[in-house]
Amino acid sequence: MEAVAMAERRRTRGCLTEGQLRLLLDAGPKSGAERDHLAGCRRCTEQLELMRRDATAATAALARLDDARDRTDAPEVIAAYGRLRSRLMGDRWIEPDSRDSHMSELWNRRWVRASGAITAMLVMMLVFTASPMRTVANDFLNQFRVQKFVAVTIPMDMLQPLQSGLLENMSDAEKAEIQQQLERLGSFETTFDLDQLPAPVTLAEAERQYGPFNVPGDLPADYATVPDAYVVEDGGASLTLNVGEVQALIERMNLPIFAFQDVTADTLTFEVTTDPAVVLQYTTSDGQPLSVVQTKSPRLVTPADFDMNDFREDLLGLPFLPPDVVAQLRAVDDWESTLIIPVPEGATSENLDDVNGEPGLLIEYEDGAAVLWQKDGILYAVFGQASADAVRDAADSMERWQPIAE
Amino acid sequence: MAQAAMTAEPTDRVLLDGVRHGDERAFEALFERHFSGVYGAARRVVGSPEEAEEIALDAFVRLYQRPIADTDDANVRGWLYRVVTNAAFNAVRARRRRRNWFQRLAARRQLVNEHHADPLEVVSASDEAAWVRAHLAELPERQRTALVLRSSGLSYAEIAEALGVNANSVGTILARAERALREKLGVGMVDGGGRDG
Repeated sequence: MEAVAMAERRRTRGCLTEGQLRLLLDAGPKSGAERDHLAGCRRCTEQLELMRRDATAATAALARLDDARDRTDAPEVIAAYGRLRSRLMGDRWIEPDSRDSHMSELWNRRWVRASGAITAMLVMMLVFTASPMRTVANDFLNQFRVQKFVAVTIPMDMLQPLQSGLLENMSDAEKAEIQQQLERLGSFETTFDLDQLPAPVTLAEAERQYGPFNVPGDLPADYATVPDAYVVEDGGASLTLNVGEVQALIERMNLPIFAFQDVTADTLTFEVTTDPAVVLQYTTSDGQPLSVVQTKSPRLVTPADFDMNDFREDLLGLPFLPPDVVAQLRAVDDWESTLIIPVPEGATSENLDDVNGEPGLLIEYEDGAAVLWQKDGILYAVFGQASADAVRDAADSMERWQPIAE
Repeated sequence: MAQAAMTAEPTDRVLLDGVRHGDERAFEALFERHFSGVYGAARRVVGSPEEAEEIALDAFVRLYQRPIADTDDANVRGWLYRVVTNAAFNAVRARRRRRNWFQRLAARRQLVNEHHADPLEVVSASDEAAWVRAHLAELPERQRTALVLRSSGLSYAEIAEALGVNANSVGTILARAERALREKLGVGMVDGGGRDG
């Protein structure tokens, strides 16, 4: 009754109501009359100040409900919709394989990318750990360089059992959660920019930029004797893994990988650095290329407290790796200095005793061949649309480029 | 993505009509448009991201299974926020029954009173939010919902729609809710600034 009486007295005196005063805090006076009244009414100004204090205190208190995690661990809308869909499966018009809707298409596309990310990550780990490149000088325990090559035949569908065995049994919601975990696994940075390929230069300019390099003295027939030359700048790439996220993903997917169990660091960084490279491209009159690449070995630096041997064993024990691939990888006894070259089924490979005076590797594929070898710390590759003999002859004839005297 | 969708998509009313007629695209559009907002409101109340998502998803399940009636004042956004905040406060109450953390906080409050300090400065950062949530949940339903919706960025008109009240009443509800919350939390009381209103 007292409140009603007070409200009535306020109304008759032209005072602002409680609601009007509160709105005034947020939006200011709605009219000149309100402003004028407020300027002359002590009761209303005192009430407004008390209300401002309450509002400030409440705002401060409610702000404590918004911690920084709200911005970092809020669920992604598409992933959340995936979880919602899995709850609604079988209901009305939500079908498991519904692909005709905007969100479903987005969600499915995201999962395809996540699946691709798994594949890429595993392949990269496999390449890194099955063929790390240990330096000749061996100054650092975990620094690797390439000294030789070996080909390993990799079935194109090698990772299919992973997807069919591990992923297809998962619900959409689980896949969405794994996708989120993958996105938190770590960060990849690189100085390489494939959209900014170097411009061709003359051989003299290439030597000025790169230093001395070799050219084939015996080219297959029909190839122009003067190539386009490209000098690729040095660069690097690093992959930083969040150990906790990796461990969580391994546990979630029930993968037999144990190398991360004893890691105490929060992150692990793997770095690859490359020296400048020179690429020579010879072409025939009808445009068929033959390429020559030479560079120092890239260097792979792995974290000192991470056991690459253990990790290699873990990866070789993954259940989805075909036994013949595992057998080929295990046959690489000096894996720390050997670069594994994945060769698709249908191609053939041959170890060569002598390529330009050093052992090398010949790979023949459907419409061409490649020869790889290492000499004096420089890696060479010659490859193109030519016969194996022609490519090998070009490789055998590599010699220091000398400018022709005018 | 959401912004692009919002600029190109029809109103909530049109989408709601689509949902009622089995249009999954319409349901997706509503989800895409409102999920983050209602999740944020739930998160403020319950604290746990997992629990907040569950509550937000539950609201959409309800919307999907029994779309709200197509009346002149049908307001999907307000309905979602109201459902979510109610569910969130229910969750807080249920949690309080299950756990004894409130007793621990009460003990801390006793410590606060003994040392004449601001409780929000004394309790640990992780408990501050729990402290606020506990007292927020004690407010009358309309008041606590208004506070959460206002702190979630809803306008007076939107809060009015969500609460089912006249827009002119929102200011009054907010003012009383803020006063009640401040008094419950004790902020300002310990410095001799008690109010007389």
